[in-house]
Amino acid sequence: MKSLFSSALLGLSLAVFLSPAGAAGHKGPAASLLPACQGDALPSVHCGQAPAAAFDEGGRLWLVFSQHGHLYLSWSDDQGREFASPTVVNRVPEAIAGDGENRPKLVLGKKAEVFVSWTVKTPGRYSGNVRFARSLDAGRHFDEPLTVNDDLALISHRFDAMVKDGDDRLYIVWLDKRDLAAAKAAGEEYAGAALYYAVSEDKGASFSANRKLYDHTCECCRIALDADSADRIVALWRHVYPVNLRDHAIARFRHPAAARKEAPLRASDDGWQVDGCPHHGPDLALSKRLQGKAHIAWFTQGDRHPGLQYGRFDLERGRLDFQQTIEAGAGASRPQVLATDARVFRAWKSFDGQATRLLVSESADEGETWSEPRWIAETAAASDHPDLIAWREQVFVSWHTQAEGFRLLPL
Amino acid sequence: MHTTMTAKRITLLFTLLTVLAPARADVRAFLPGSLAQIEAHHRTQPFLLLLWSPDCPPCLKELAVLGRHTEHLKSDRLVLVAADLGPTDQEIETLLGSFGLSRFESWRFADPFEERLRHAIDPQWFGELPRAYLYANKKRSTHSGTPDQQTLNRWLAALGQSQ
Repeated sequence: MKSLFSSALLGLSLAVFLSPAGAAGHKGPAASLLPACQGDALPSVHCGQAPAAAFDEGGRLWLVFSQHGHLYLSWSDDQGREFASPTVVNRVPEAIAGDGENRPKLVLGKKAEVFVSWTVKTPGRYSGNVRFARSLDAGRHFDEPLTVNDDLALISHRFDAMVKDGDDRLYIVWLDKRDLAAAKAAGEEYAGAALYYAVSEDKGASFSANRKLYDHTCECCRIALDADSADRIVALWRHVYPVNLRDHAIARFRHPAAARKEAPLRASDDGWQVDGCPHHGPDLALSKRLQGKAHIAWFTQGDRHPGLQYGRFDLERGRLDFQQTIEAGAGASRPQVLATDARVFRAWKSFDGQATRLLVSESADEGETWSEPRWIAETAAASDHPDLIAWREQVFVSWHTQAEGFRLLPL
Repeated sequence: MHTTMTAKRITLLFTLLTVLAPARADVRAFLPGSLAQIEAHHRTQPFLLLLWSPDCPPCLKELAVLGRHTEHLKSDRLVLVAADLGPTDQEIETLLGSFGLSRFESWRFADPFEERLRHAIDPQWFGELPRAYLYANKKRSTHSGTPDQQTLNRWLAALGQSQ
């Protein structure tokens, strides 16, 4: 541990000199306002950016965060009050994307494996590669990171998302612009980017060749993933339906999946036509009680239902059971959804002109009815996207704010 | 010696920049009170306030279109605001220069609390880009996304440029 910590310090000091300007990429989150985080602060969950949190089966909280071109892993046995000294994931600093929509991902295995994926900025506009590193010893040591995209052109392979199925296959899905590049070279039009995936069947030692699932995704909104009990992956993303309709698409697949020619199933049909960047992706949680049902949350400005939306999607019938507006005002953002065995939770942010509040509501009937929104935290400075995480039936919101640092808020 | 070398490099860099980009405008820091400043400064003439980001492909498409259509537009009729904390002033200047838009007033978000900046501009704006506000005939009209030809023509007519 000591030598790793020294490596972290060495890496940190190197990062100060080596990390490229704008290492966090565009849309970089704000530097912490905490006094302990000023200057060349040591790696800390409070000083770092874009944390990803998850509980292991024993109830230990794991957290990966970005600081000075490195990703660090830490853990807490008291639900986020105290954290262990961080260990470094990538020893050589790189330009890690660390903003709300495009941020590191953390998945835990059953036998002390820790899997981390992220996007690294490469030279050129919108360009990046999908990176991955694993630890097989509970984060004490990480293997050298590898690049998951097998096309290495200096174009966009970004907005990675990661999920593990019940049989320990590890999927990484991302937005890829190799088809846009090919179309441009041929003098053809191509809307948006494409949804690609790779899978590891050896606990992250290697990944399969890249496979395309669908053309014409929106270019800069996060992807949401979950795995069902039959080891199928469900992906939800903002799509570009003709012409410039930026509604959501949903797909269920299992490796090896072939590219689809037809348009993907429409998960939201709000009619939002815009040749612009929402920078505001959806979230997804499969129901634990109802087979083939997905709880989904998203943002739209379509005329039919503007604002933050929630719906329950039936994957067998290919349509929404129902749709509800979570909050319609422009200050509402970043809806999250999580399902436990007994309940479904929604969390989102709401800015009133002065402060940002974190709101939650819950449902005991699989999303049909919801409790009144409850305000659980607020901040008067910049804040990251919130995330819902659970340990058994205990649910928490993980939230990083510029003024307060990292908080794990129990519901 | 090191200091001298650095000083020489800086001088050389500065000279190059001056020669290569003579019309380079300063990028000003956009803070919660900046919109009021812009509105006061431009109150006697119509103008278009355009919010964009280097990380938004449709925004660059719109800048390219504006670059092609604003050759004869007076320089006080367009105000560009990069609604993004990431890019450096140099990146913004280089990009705007590549579209022939260097002569227009340029700002960039300078408060990490982006929600507050967006709210100060328009409480009804969700943050999607590009976002345009046309100030003309004593009112402000709004547009999200790149404009179609009809919208662009309407803007240019309102800003006093003949087609």
